[in-house]
Amino acid sequence: MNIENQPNTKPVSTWGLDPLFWTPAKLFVGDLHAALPSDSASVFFIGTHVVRTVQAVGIVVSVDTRSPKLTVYNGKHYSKHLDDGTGVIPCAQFVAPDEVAAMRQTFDLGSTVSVEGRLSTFRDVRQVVIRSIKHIDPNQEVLGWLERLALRQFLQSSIEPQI
Amino acid sequence: MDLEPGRPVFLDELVQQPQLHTGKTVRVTGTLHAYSPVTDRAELVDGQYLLIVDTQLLGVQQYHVGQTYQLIGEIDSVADQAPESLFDDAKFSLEIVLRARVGKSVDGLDMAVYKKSVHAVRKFLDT
Repeated sequence: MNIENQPNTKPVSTWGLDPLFWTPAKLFVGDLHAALPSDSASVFFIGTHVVRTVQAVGIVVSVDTRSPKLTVYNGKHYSKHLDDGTGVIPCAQFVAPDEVAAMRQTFDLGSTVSVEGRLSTFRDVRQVVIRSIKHIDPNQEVLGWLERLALRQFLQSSIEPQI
Repeated sequence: MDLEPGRPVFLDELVQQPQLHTGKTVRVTGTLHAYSPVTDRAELVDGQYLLIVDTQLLGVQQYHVGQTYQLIGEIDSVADQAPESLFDDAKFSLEIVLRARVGKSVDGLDMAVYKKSVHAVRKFLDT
């Protein structure tokens, strides 16, 4: 069942009262792709809730390292694609050049990881800008699915009529 | 990059309805029953059901027979893919093979909880 995403028409000053505004929302990747963008680049609507940061769990299915075109930052853009069975989402991270090799070895293809970060859209592609990433046990991934189902139930039951 | 998500499926579903999953990207979990580095072929088992896996894309890694593996890849239709090492009452399909592109050992995964969770996710997301 899809969550009916609607823009939150309440004043922006009240968005901080939404419990999901401050915490990383545990959501399926499919729900991250379906989130409704707002006028702000870093805020999205899921249900009628306002979400900025998210937490996704899944398997790393693609790893890409490239240098950004901007020369101001002398680092590397490190991108992983995360697959949780409901969707695939790129997770981007900027690392210093000397940290790239370590990142590759730590989070290689097939790793089960939990990614927490800011949801954003870059060049029409939904992505997560990584704030933290860590290995998780496969059993923790399964637990993550159940947590996401529980939050989904809450989101579907708490859709408020918008004025 | 347009990658299809690997939808969790069970080996019995693949073996019983091979045509339904052909061309789709799936995530399968099972015990490694056999592996041949010469032919890049592995056989994954879950209960009585056996799936043939093409491991060419997985690269060089150690495979331990008897460990539980989770693989993501595309189901391809093939002809005459016979398993090399069968056991009694083995059920398999000669029509499909999994072209795995990502795989990892998931020893320690509670399969009973995993299966219940997959069913719960499907029930909730597909209704």
